[in-house]
Amino acid sequence: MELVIALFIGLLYASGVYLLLRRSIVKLILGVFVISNATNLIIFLSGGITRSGVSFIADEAEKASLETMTDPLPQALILTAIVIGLGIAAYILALKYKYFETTGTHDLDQLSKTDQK
Amino acid sequence: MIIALPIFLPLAFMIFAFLFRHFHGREYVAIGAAALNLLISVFLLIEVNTDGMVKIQMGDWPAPFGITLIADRFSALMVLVSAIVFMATMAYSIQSVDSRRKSFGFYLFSFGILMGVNGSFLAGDIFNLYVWFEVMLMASFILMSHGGERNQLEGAIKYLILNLISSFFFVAGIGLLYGKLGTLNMADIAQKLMSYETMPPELNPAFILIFVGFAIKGALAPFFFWLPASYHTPPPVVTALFAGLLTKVGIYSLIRFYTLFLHQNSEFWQPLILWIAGLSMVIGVITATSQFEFRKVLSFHIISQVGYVVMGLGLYTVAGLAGAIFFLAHNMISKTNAFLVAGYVHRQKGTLNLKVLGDFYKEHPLWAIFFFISAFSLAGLPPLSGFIGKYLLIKAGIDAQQLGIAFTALFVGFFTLFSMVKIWMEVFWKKTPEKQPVPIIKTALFDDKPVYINWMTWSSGAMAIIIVLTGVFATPVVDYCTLAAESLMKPSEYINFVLNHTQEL
Amino acid sequence: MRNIVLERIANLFLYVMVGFALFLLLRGHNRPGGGFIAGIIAAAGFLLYGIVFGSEKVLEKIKINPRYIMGSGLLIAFLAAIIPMLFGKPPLTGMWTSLAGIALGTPLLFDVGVFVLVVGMIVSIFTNIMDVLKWNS
Repeated sequence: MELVIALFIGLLYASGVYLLLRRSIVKLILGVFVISNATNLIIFLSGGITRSGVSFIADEAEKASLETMTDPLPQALILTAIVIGLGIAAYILALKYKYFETTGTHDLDQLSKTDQK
Repeated sequence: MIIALPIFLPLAFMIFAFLFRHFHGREYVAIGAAALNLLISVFLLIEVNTDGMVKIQMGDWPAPFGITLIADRFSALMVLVSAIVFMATMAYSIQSVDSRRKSFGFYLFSFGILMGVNGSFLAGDIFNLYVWFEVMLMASFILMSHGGERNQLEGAIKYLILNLISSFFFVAGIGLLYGKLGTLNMADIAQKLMSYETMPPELNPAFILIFVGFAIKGALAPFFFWLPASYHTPPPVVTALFAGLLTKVGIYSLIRFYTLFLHQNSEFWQPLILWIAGLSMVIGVITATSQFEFRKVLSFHIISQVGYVVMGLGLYTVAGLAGAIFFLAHNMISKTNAFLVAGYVHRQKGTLNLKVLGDFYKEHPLWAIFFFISAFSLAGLPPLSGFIGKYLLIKAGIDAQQLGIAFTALFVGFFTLFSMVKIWMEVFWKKTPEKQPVPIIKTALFDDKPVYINWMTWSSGAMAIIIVLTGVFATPVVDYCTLAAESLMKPSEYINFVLNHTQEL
Repeated sequence: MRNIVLERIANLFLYVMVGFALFLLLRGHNRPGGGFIAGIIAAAGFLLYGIVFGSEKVLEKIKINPRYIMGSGLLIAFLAAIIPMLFGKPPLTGMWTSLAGIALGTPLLFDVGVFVLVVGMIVSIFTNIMDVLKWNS
């Protein structure tokens, strides 16, 4: 199971990098989202995957044991990362929209005004 | 208890700014809050200086499980210096930010940056550090694109994408580290690493990822491209705030990580860090010589000066670290002040193109003096604070037998002087060219509301006075930095303090 | 084009979602649930309502500017963080009191703050995006 998810993370990173290297800004932003989710999966995987374990919920707490229980901390970390990702996604899309409105272009090669004149 | 206040005070101000959006005295409330923050950080510094370290466990959860906030001498000094920088920029912004930006949350997001920066300095937990980084970055993204001019949006996209990627590197590194060690508390990680005979190779990818994340955030040599592409686009006071605070947080975290974790594998990291330091210094300073925009020259110099700090870290001796800490503090103040002067030039002339400007000394001699002080402090002329910083670093380099890097630092100092003299000649000394070589595009925007105190002059002047004073009376500051460096060199103290070990490791 | 069935359902669904969100919020301390999830679910109800009726109707429905909702959510969570400091404990420490047999404490206050903040944030994000895209107008 770990191997499958690890390969999947690799695939996500590959597609994210591919998207980042495209010339369109929209694809760049999609690439950022894909990489962000791949990173969340890394944290998820780092806690180890235990199937059918019980975490410590009030009335089933006595059934939980360290052997069968999944580590809850990475999930809390992912939640935090997702919340941050949500805020960033909203902001970055707004920024893209505003940029498109001012310049009317999607092309990354047009972003050369702030570089060497 | 006081250690939580540098985080909660900006949060309280942000809530105020959220709820009272149309309150007209918000500038003065912001200045009051910034002054209070300065006061708190002075008290924090005093308390840390007497006790050595201060910590607090959020939610009363004991150390490796709960979130630790910890201040040692290094982080207390950083909190104090960032409070000074923040105070100056807030006072300056009263006149230099246009009222549209102010009513659209300029102060709200500035305090967001302050909260993120203070949090990163005080965090004792790597995931918490990441969260503070994100708080800081979110606020800085918004300030960067605030106002929506074309250049700003372009700069913001570059800044945003590269910083997001660095965050992903950092958080992926945290994930791998957690998977191997099962803890996030910095002291606990350091303790677990110490228990290994040799560093297990599985940890190297994690540390490399984290290092690259910090290097992008701190604008070190191969990763600095976002900085000069974006720092000259927002209003000058925002650039001053960013230049003073943001990259320095990346460097702070790098120093913290190196002294706690990475030094245990120093035969790999030390040459790498020294090379990166040398490259940053040389590349930053040489590219700066070819620039003809006030703020771009200063932006490239940020890269070279970050290289100095990392050089002190790479030496990894008490003297080197003390020099690095002193240089970091000096650089935050001098750099901010140089950008504040750039903001004043921008306000008066409407442009920052060096070829167009001139005669500034004749028209505004006081501001010319402020620039002289901060720029030549950056270049390292005695008796200003930059001289002390460079002297400490180069001396430490020679003492540590790292002659190559020491001489690099020396030569880079000359080039810095060259760039600063160029700005001085072009902006302040020469006559305004009769026939303009390039068309002037006036972009200055500012608040014309009458004020009773000339806040711009006072804030920049206070910074200039601080630069001169830290240069002339450097001994207590250097002593303090040496103490801070000594405690950084003994990570076991930090570990014992956080984890409440009574016996020595 | 108006769609009567969808409008009725969206109107009803809003109350179901908000009710379920409140249930999850209160359940959150010991069982799965909590402020963030509850906030997302309530905001999803508002989102459906907004898709059907348009963003102005959402703002009419909640009556308060989402900005103030966000601010007050932040304030409530902030209070939960600093109340323990007034009693000399580290910030965010859980402090409990009981009122007629029901345990009330700062963690609940914190969750409520997060709930309000998330609802305000998501409503403000999607109403702004809808306004910009000129949805339903």
